[in-house]
Amino acid sequence: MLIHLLTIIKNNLRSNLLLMAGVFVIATSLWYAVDYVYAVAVNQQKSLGFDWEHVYYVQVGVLPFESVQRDTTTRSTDEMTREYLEFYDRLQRHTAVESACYTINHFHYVWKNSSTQLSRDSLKAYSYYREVSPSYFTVFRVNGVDGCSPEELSRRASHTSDVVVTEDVALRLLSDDTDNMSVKATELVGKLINCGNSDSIRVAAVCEKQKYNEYTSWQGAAYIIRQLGTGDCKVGYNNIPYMDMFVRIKADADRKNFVESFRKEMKRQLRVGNLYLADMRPMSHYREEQLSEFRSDLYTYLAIAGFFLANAFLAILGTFWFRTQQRREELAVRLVAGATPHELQLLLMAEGVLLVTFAYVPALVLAYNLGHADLVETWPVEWSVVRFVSGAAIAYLLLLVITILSIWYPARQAMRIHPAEALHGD
Amino acid sequence: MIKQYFKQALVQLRQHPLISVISIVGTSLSIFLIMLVVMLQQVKVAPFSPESNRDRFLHIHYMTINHKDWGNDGTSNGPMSVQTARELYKSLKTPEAVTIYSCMTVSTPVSLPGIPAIGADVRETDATFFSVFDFRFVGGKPYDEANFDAGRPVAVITESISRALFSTTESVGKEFLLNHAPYRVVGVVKDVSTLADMSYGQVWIPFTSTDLPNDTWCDQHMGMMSTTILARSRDDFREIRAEAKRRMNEYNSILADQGYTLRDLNRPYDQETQSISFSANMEPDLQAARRERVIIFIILLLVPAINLSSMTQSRLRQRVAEIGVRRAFGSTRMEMVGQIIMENLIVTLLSGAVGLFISVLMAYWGTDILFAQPYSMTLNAPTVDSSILLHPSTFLYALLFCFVLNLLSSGIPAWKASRTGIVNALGGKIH
Repeated sequence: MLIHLLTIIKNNLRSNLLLMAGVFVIATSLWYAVDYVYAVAVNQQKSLGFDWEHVYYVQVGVLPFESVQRDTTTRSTDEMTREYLEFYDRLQRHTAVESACYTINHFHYVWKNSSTQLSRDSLKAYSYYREVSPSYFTVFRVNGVDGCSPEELSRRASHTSDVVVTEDVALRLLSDDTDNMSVKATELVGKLINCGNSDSIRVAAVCEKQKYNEYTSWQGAAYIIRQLGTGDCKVGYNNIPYMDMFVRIKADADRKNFVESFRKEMKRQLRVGNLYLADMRPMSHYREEQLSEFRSDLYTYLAIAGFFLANAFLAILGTFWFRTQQRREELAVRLVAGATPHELQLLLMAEGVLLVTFAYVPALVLAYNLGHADLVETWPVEWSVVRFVSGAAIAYLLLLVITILSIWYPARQAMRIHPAEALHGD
Repeated sequence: MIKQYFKQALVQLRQHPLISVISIVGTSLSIFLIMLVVMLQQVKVAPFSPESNRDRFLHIHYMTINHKDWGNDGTSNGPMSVQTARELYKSLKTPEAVTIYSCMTVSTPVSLPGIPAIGADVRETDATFFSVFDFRFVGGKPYDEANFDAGRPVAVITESISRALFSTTESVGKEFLLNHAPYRVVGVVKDVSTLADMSYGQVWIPFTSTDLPNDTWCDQHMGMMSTTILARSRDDFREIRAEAKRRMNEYNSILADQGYTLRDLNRPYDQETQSISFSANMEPDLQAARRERVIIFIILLLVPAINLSSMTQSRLRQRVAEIGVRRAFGSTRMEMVGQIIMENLIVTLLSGAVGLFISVLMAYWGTDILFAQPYSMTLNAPTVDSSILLHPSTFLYALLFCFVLNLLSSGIPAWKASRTGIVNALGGKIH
């Protein structure tokens, strides 16, 4: 059967080569798109590390000098810090608020961050540098790496200037070999590490791995604990705009128009000294905004895959449609010689599948080299043999489905050939 | 003759409905995708109000600074201070105008006394801003140099902010609170698409009216400002760059005492380079971006071209007898080639028009997905109006692509078919 098919393909070599050239270009491009979508899908399986639902961002504003409401008496930093903490307390006391926190240089989804190099002896790790209040972990529901609850994590991290690091950072600071399974990330707890050029700080806890957003890989982070009002930890009016406040709202209180009613209710209470509630938005707002760009990339690749599949469909359909017409006599002879119409259909489909497979082999070679030369998107999922094989298998299956679909119609035409009619011309 | 071609093309289309549909769908699909790629690019570089002069813009969005204590590679990157922008660029002689404005918009509460505030994207600018960017004023006029120098609290606002605050677009002269400080409206402009990266905003105010010029870092060399230069013509670009380079060298020699060196990473960038420049510390690779686009075009053209030509060839096989008859009656080879190309051109043009139509529809329908901006700071979705996308150049691109597609897919088979001997052709053989 195989040799028979090969002979048929050879007899029609010229037009088959054209078709194969087309399928080759299509297959390579299709693989490229499928590979991207595959990488995104694999990355989606990794946990995000935090929970943004029911969390709201609160922007604390400072009245400008131009405002008539501004109290222009001079204040010490202590007083300004007290104002900020009073604002924070009042926010927390609202019945709908489950927990609240403030952060510096850390705002999920809006590319507001800074990074640093952590070191322990000769071991180094790059990570995000995030200053947070202890309740941060409760607000964003971040668990400890040992499975402890966010509340427990916040309790462990209640000492100013301590640091909480993510699991991947901890492992890198414990061992040269990050694949060393015998090392437990929790071993770093209680140890001293260096952050940038600063003095040593104590690791209070290790938390689960964190993604920056749904489309990135896990990225190391160090949370420096800051509690305003303790020690030197103070904030002045000029720094308040750089601090971010977040509140977690009880799920049953998080209804539509929550922000409007909350702001209306709290308008007076949240006017503390020269501070006021400048803006309040759900995290989902920022999330949607940032993810739209990643989604648009994903849709683009899906559209490209769709485009090439459509082209493969049209090319194979067109070619086989002509082919069944030109080979009417040959197919008729087969029928006369005892082939059933279904065998004819099978023959045509097998021919198509074989042609596509021939074109797919060089496409695979090219694809492998593209991947090997790092010409595919290797962030956030790195290039690996598993990735190549999976992508290649999916692309091949898609091509096969399209081949069978597109040959179905011409093959049906062939099944309806009446031998007597087709052969009487000769 | 043309009529004859046309008639024949139509007959051909009807003879093989399936094949006609395949050719038209295949071609329009790839024209559609190519047009989308062109449109995505057009949105970044094509002129539209308030950035109608994009072809004459030179941007210095960010600046790079180095201190001798940081080592040679240690740099700090970001927007510059008013002082740096003034010293380096405002003093240039060659450009028509130079404007300094805040590098991004900030969502700020605007309100009337006693009424809940709404968030508006505010951009702080100088007075020249309005001669570089051509906003469409529906009332009033921009703030002038005098107002700017005096730091008066005046604002230009968009129609939609005006409607939200005052329930009317005729709000010139009225007062409102911006961040709890009173401002007076001096001009109302048509809403601006967020796709106008540099000029977008909902409220524009003089940066002298706020504390922004004092929001600086690196000893007042860096701050929150960006600069755009409007050249008299593109021919001046070289001279402006040379002048800016000279100015920077002079300025750096002054800064040498403090240990700072400003680096421009070959800024100012023109609009096309700026559109692919995302990070402040890296010079964008324009050649690579262009090469990438060319590769996309080639693949998008190649796939349907190969498909179509394999189909055209099969179709010609069925027509060789007809070609034979025509040749026997005195048609020249060139005429045959011409006719076959013309037939295909008509089909391609038809599908090109379909493809263009779908892509324009898609651009309106899928605006949010298509034009999502990377690292965007504003939360307002981009809007597109037809003036942005429907440029004659877009349509010409589509036509050009149609023609190339046609040449690739029908030229070669046509040339082959015309070489068939008459006798063979009459017998239905192609060789």
